[in-house]
Parts: sequence; C-alpha cells; structure tokens
Amino acid sequence: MVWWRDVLRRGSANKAKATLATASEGGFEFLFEGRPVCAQTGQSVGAALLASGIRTLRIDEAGNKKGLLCGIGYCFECRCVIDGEPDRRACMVEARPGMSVRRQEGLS
Amino acid sequence: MPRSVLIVGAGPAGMSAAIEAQARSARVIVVDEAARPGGQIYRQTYRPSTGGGAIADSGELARKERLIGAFERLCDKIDYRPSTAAFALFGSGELHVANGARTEVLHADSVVLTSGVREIAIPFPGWTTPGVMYAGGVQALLKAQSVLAGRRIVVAGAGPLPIVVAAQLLRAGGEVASLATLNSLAATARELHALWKGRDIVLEGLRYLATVIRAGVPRLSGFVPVRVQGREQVESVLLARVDRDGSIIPNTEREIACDVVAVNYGFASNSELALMAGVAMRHDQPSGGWVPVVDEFGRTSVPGIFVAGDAAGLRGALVAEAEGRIAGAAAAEREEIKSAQFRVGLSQDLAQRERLVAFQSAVQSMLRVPTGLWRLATDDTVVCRCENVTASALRDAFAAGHLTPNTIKRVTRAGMGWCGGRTCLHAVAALAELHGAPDAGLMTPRPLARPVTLAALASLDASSR
Amino acid sequence: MSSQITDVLIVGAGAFGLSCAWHMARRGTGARLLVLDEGEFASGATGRNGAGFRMQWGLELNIRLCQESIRFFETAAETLDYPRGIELKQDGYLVLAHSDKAFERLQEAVRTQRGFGVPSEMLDADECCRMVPVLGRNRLLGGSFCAKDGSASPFLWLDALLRAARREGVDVRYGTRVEAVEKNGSGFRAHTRDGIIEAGKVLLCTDWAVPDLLAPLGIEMPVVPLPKEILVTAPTRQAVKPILISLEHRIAVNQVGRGSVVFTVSRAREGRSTETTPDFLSFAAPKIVDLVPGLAHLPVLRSWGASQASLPICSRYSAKPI
Repeated sequence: MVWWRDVLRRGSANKAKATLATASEGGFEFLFEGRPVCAQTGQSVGAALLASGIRTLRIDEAGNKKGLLCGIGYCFECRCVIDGEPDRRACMVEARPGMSVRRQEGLS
Repeated sequence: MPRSVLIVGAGPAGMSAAIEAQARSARVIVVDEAARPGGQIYRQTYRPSTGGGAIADSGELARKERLIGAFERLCDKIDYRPSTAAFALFGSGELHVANGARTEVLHADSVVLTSGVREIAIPFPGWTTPGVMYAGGVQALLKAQSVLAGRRIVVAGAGPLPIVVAAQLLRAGGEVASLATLNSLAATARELHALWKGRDIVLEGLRYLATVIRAGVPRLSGFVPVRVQGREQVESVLLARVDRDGSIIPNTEREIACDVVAVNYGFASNSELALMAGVAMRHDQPSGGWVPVVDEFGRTSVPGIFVAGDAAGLRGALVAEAEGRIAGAAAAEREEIKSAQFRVGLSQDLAQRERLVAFQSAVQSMLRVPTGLWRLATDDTVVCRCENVTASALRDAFAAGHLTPNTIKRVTRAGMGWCGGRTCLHAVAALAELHGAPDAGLMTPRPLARPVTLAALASLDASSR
Repeated sequence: MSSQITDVLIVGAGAFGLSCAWHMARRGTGARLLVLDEGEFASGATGRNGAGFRMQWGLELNIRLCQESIRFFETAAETLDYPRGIELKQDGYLVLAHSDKAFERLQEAVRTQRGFGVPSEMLDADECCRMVPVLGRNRLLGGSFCAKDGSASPFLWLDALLRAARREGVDVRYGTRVEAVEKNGSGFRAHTRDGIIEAGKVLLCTDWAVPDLLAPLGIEMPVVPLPKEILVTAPTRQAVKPILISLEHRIAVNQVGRGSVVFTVSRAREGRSTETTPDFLSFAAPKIVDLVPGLAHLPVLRSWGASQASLPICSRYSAKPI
C-alpha cells in the first residue's frame, strides 16, 4: 500500500536533518565547581552540564547523588547552588556567561 | 462587562482556550511556569535555526507552529505571564501565583486549568542513580535544549512514548542500546478499529516505529528494567521479561551497558490545584490517576472552575486542542452554554474529540500497570526520593495499619518533601493496595502547589480583577 | 445494628485518648478498653499541632501537668518500646516579649514557674539574639527561657502510643464516629453509625468537640476552639535551636528533627475548618518575616489549619494565662 512506502521513506530522511549541540560548539562558558563548562544562549544549566557529561548536581543529606530526573521542573531533584543561591532547579535556570554553579551538599 | 477567564498552563489546551475565549470577547489571563508557550508536547527550542526540527514528525511540527503562532499573535490582546507558577487555588476561584521573588493574587470569573500531566515511573533497585530519567524528560532535553542525555541510552516503559523517544534520539544521531516495552505490538494491533479513527496519529506512530526498526535497535517486548548498576552514575541496566501480572520470569535477565535509562510508565494528572479547590475527582490509573470529573464543556463540581486537556484525562495533543477550545468557549460564555447555538458553534471540536477519544483509549489500555511490577522494589529501594523513604519503611507502616497516603505520610514522611509527592505518591498508594488498602488513596491536597519563599509570600499583592 | 460491651469507652484516638488508654491498660486491672476515632491515624488535633512541650506556663495546673509530662517524654521511646524514637528535642523554649506589658507578664510567669522548681529565667534582647541569630530586633525587649522545654514528633509519638496500646490489648478503631452518649443505668450507651456500645465508663478525648457530647447529658463545658494555621518550610540546616513563641506576633517557631521549620500562627477565624484560609499566607508571611527576618529566604512547602481546645477546665481562673 502506498502509505507504507511513505512511512518508511519519511522515517529515514528525517535522520539527516537533525543537528545537535555538542559540548565543543560555540556560545559561552560558566563555571561548575570552579571549572569551565560550555553552554549556548538559552540552554538550561542542567542541559549544558549533561552535554558535558556531568550528571551529579546534588548530594543529599543521606549521601545520595542526585541529577536530572523529570527535566522540566516538577520533581526538584536537580537543585544546586547557582551564584550562591541554593535550591535552584538546574533544569529551569538559563545558563549565563560567568555564572557560578556548585553541587549542593546536604541541607541548604 | 466582559467576562474574565484565567487559564493555568500554556500547552495545546491552554493556548486553544485562550484563543477561543479571547475571540468571544473575554478578558484573558494566561499563567504558565515555563518561559515560553507550548507545554510539553510543543516544547519550544531555544535554537530556532534547527527548529528542534526534524526530530519530531512533520505533522506534529505543523500543528505546533500553527497553534503557537496563533497564540503569539494574541499576546498583545491578552495578559500572558510566563515564568509564573500557580501555587494555590481556592474554591472562590482565587489563584495565587509567584514570579521570581513576587507573589500575586489573581481573580477571574472563570478559571480554566490546563496543567497537563507529568510522568510516572515504577521504583526499582537503582532507579535513583544519576542517569535514570523519565523518557519525556530526555525528549524535552532533545527538543528544547538540543542535548542528548547520554552516549548510549536504554529506553524503557509502557505505551507509545518510549517508541517515540527512541526514534527521536536516533534521528538526532544518538545511540539507543535497547528499547524495552512492556506492551507488545500485537496488543496494540488488537485495537485496530479504534486506532483507525485516529489515523493521522497512527501514521506518525508507525513512522517512529519504522525509524527504530531501520536502525536495528534491539527491541525487547514484554521486558522491564529491574535493576540499575553503577555507583556514581548508570553503568548498565538489567532488563527482564515479565508475565501478564508483571512478575519477573526467571532466567530472562539481560544486562545492557548504558549511561542513561529513559523510562516512562505513563502519566499522572497535574490536578493539585483542582484538588485544593475542592473539585470532585475520579480515579483511573491509565488516564492519569486522580483526575477531575468534568462534563462535556469542561465544567467541574466547583462553579467557575474548568479543566481541559490531559489534566482531565490523558488523551493527547489533538484532543487537548479541541477540548481547550470547548472549555475556553464555556468559560467565556458561562450561562449561554445552555443555549442550542452554543453547542452548534462547537460541533466540530466536539466531533473531533469524540473521534479521537476512542483512539486514545487504546493508548491508555497500554498504560495499565500490572500489579506485579510494584514488587520490583526491594526493601532497600527508595520510594520517596525527597525524604529517602525505602520500601521496607513503607511496609513497616502498612503492617501497623497505616494504609492511606495521609496516614503513611504522617509516619514515614513520604510525600512531605520538595516535590509534594509528585514523584512517589502513586507508587506509595499502589504498594499500599498490595498490602490491603481497599482502594487507591488520595493525599489531602494542601497549598502550596509549588515552594514559595516567606519573603515572596510577604510581598503578596492582592490585585482584584 | 451491632451491639458491643466494654468496660471503658474512650472517644478519640489522639494523644489524650491513646495516652489514657495505655496508662489504664498498664494498671493491669483487666478492664476491657475500646478507643473509637471518627477519622484516621493522626487526622485530628494531635496530627496538626506545632509539636512542642513546655513548662513555661502562667498557671499552676499547666506548669505541673507539663513538668510531669516532660519527665515522661524524656524516656517515652524506651517506656513505649519504640526503637525508632520520637524525634525528641530538648533545646528549650524562648518566649519573646515585644512590649513592656508582655515583658512584665513573662517576668511574673517566671516567678510562678520557679516557685514550682521550673528552671526558667529572663533574658534581655541581646541574649535572645545571641541565642537565635535569625531573630529580628524590631521592638524586641527580651524573653523567658527554659532549657528543659522542647518538642517531639506528634506522628511518631502517636504511633508509639498506638502500637503500645494495642500491645497491651487495647482495641483501637478508626473511621467510627460516636454520635451521642446517653446514660444507661449505672453505665452509658454510645451511638455510632455501625451500632451501639454499652460502656461502664466513658472518657471523652475529642478535644474541642467534647462540649457537643456533654451537652445532651446536661453538662455545660465552656471549652472553645482556638484556631490556628500552620506553615512548614523545606528542610534546612540548623537555624533556630530553641522553640520560639512571640506573644505579640502570636506565632510559634519550631525547627523539627527533619530540619523543616514549623510556624504555628494563632488567628481568629470562623468555624472549625482545618483548611488553609485564602488570606492566611499573606497574613502570616509578613509577621514571620518581621519576627525572624533571618529565615525569610526559606521556601514554604505546605500549610494547613487546626483548632485545639482551650485550657482544660479543672477549676476556675481569673487571670489571663500564658
């Protein structure tokens, strides 16, 4: 049937068009634990850190490592210290040049 | 005097409601926690040049662009407040919102809640290891942030979303180490009659599936993740086959090396504000758990409060858009709903919703969680992540007779943390049911639906509308 | 309709009811004890309170009752065989005065308390602020402090009592409301939706609802509900060591074991609701920020309403108590 061919054709063509941010692409830098991390304008802190392979954003009171879970702001797992302010959700805060992000450890 | 309509959530339902209400001369206010409209399915990318683009299907993209375009053209005629979190709703229709360090009280003749759904997972050993994420969260990172969550991703869960996410990851050049789905394609095929009614979406779904098949991703049908290995972060995941009841079939375990496990077992309605305002609810796990009871026009048991879209029952973006228009019209017209002309004016949307609901019930049937899966959690498995409440602490509470979310919460603290129970309460209730609770319990809803500082609350500014 | 017979019927499974039941059972008389509660575990006043205990009262009755209670609290987890513990904290209560009148009231109360051996003392504003750095100095004159006062988790305390009472053979049932109690010969008959209880004695432990059950028996009990609303914050590192009460703000501040800070706000209100009133947050937050500005950055997670009974009536009083 014609529509099957259409389905299969569209499926493979889509692959070519996608482009993704990689850690090395342009933009700016912010600091995570004092070390520079690349980000693009409009990207969230959590996304930029993940693109650089950084997964642990917080260590809770029991010593458990925490990172992104829901990615969109309702689970509150990704809380970290941004420019000195604790409990900021990394997935909701837009990265900015020169921002200082630190892992949150224990109670804030 | 034009009627005022306050809409919470700027996804497809909210945007449609705003457009429709404004067209009917209402004064419209839209609050949304995100910085840009679109909700989850139409989440916008910060990189317009890529358009988040070819990752999503062209049909979906066209709908997204049309609707967001129409909403954005409206912005100088309505009061649109992005980055604004609604944290309390009272039966009178008074809504409390926070934006940064400021809070405000908003009043309107009608309040339309279009807050959508959130993802749910099933706790299993190692699910709290960094690198385990909800599949929709991985998708949001891809669509909106153009970021691949990991180098080698295992996608798992129930329903169509894991298939969609796996395909989108592949289109973006990611590596999907395995796709483990609870449901088989055969189960889906059984619903063909219902599926045919939603044929546009079926085609999209089949295109996503074709991507996955062509890429040669190992597909494990009837398999679920049962253990994540890795101390600092995910290093591998154990997948095992489960039977119809969700019990693990011995000797079927496969270990797959990966750095991200993207999991989704369905959704829960973001109905906290409705609950808080005293709206009557019903429980249906695959529809979204505790869901507000609404009539065909989105009216709830509380006069002046409407709910539309997935928050009123998971039915997808197309139904959300139609239903948003219906509720937006009803919220703007109020008494005029009773007239015959009102229904005639909405006949297209009512028919669209009717046509698609049958399809969506097929999707929902794939999201029914077999009870055995709740036994995946071992004694040490943390169920309430915010308060570190393990399965064994919960079982101890059950044994002492604490079987409702309220009583379990009081003795274990499950549900008392930062997320207000969004991540764990459905699991706590399901585990309690396994241990004898008569039905799915509901925690008494309380302000606040989002954390707000004392300083921000002290600046609360009552502005009557 | 079913019928049941018991020696003692206790109405209300809160701290009063379960504590009475446990103590009675421990006496070993063999009496049949039945506790009925209309709600579920900790759904009443016990589960809604600010969790503190103190000897700093103005009236002899309260001072002495609480002295005895605190002795019990200090070893409760062991006595009730509750290995988990009840989150007992004894870092004192600091009662603050923001006016001359309040300061004098506290001085008088301390004099009374010391007369009964309570180790309370007056502190000036500087000493208060050194003890609690997050305190605001605005109008603060000083306070009274007793190091032995403290708090425990009301939920764990009640769970300990429930388990201990059941172990002693007390029958505790939830979801059963006692609608009425009437005299029946030398005993009583209690009516519930599911049946009738014949009881030799009845103990009413339903807090401010006691007068409703006594009125049909011809007993007038002038107990009124004292409404309050509560806010709790996210857990934070230790910020407030003693529990605070501000007489002027009518607020109590208790940082509990988990690290969350519980603010209990007394507020005149209609009815007996346990819901948060719409203007509560805007009413309470500015007062809290004035009292403890050092805590203004804390995020609030939850709020609820409560009513507790006014003072237990055992004799008549003329002075306004603490």
